[in-house]
Amino acid sequence: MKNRYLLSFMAFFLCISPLFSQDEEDSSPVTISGSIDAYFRANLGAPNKVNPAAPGTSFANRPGFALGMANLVIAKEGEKAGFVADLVFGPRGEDAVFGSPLNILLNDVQGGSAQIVNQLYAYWNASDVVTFTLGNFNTFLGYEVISPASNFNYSTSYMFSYGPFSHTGLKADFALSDDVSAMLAIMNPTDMTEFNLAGSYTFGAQLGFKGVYLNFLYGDQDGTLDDDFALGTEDTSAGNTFQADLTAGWDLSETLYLGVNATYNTTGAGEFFDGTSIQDADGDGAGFYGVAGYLQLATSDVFAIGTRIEYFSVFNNGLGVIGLDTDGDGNVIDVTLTGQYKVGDLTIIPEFRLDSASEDTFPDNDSPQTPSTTSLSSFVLAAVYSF
Amino acid sequence: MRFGLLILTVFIHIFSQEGVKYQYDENGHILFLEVVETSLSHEVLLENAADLMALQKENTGKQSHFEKKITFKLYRKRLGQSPHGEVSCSLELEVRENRYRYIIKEFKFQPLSRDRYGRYTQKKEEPVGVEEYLQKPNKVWAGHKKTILEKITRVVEDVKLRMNANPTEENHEVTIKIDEEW
Repeated sequence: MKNRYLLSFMAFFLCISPLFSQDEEDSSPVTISGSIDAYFRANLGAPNKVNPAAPGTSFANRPGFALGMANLVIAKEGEKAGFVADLVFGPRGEDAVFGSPLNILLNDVQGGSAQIVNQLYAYWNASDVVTFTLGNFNTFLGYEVISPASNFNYSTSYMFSYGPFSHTGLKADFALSDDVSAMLAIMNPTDMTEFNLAGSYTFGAQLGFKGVYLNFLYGDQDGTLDDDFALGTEDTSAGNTFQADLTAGWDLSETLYLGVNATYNTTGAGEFFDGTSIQDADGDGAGFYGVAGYLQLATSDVFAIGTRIEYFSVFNNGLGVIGLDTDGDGNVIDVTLTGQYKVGDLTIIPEFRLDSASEDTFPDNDSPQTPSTTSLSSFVLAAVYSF
Repeated sequence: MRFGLLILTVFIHIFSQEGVKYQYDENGHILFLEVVETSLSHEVLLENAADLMALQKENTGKQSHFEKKITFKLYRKRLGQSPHGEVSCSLELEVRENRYRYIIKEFKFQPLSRDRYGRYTQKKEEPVGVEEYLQKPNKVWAGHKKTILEKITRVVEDVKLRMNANPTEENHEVTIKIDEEW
């Protein structure tokens, strides 16, 4: 059934392709750009040694002086076609492509280079309206991104950290007017970027209007149980994941900017093998939701200050990244105050962050091995150089 | 001796050509303007202009004023080349009997920044006149100043080449006959 949907989707793409003319390629150059980043991080009133306390968010969470990544983007942006090879080296890069290397599962060889690929895709501007992209691309959901050069805050939000990072698949972007855009995509399960191990596919869609983007993701992220394969009584499979996400940004004045992100993610109970047959699991879906506001003020050409205020809630044991109550629910508020001082292409970023959870989530100095307090304060000083 | 004359001829040819130079209007905005005399009729010039401006014949009618937008990217040269911004300007063509003129003006610069997919897209800020950057250019803009002039030189060469085309001559193809007595 799913394959029939998949084939229909592919057929749709292939059928509309010949409607667009083919022209000669232009001579735009292959470009090289990227960034490097490093930082210092310290908790205030919590351990800073091994197994340190840190917000359960991606990147910028190692103690002391730490490395981000070197990011090298090689691209060709032709008038009709182009490509992007976005390579990452270093701890932030490893975290960004956490699903790799998958290739070792098939060829049984350790190492390889798959873990440095953050994005790898080619695209075809089939007309002024339609662009097709095939390959591995960063997610269209969420407000924040993997590259530190494109985020205002150096640390990241919970919504970014537990939403998708990357997808591999085929997408069609439609620029319907200067203000209206749309996107349709068929992809591997989220962050399964090298190839599809699960046999299921995920659908993506985006509607954009004047800088406001409504995003949707739907699909089975771990495939389904199949009794043609040997199954054990502990074998389970989660149901379909659905995520709706809104991102928006407005220039309130020449110096003041407001960004907004809201997301809702749920995964169905799925199915299990009871020893004789595959059964549907009872129960409600599990997941998370959240909302965040980003306010930034440029006080001069070289200095800006901004804050991120995020509310993030987990329901029905949807994630184990914050303390949960007996019903499997919990929430956290993070308030991050960030400065950005630019020295040419270098950005120096001092940042204070307070995370306050509904349940015990963070260790403190009196109890460094176990979550014993609901809040954590931390300081980060980062340097990001873009080229 | 013959080789020396050849080199001399090439040099004279190169230096006798009037290159495209930066010109400014009364408000200090960049303006490239030239009236070009030609032996071609108004009708032929109209057809060439419509062809150059990529207009359909039925849309051109009897109009003798044509306008289109030109855009090109400027690149920073550091480790490799990375896009810095996009320059847009307008090209206007006005056609009369045995002459035409081109006007290239309204040069705007729109910075580009990398988006979440690693591609360079326009920043949200409004484009600004390139004159602001070219008055006291830093190292990057000193390079851009040359690049803009090179791009406009190519545009002007293309305009002259295509406006001077005579379709009646081009359509007069030489036919070849295979002759038994050769």
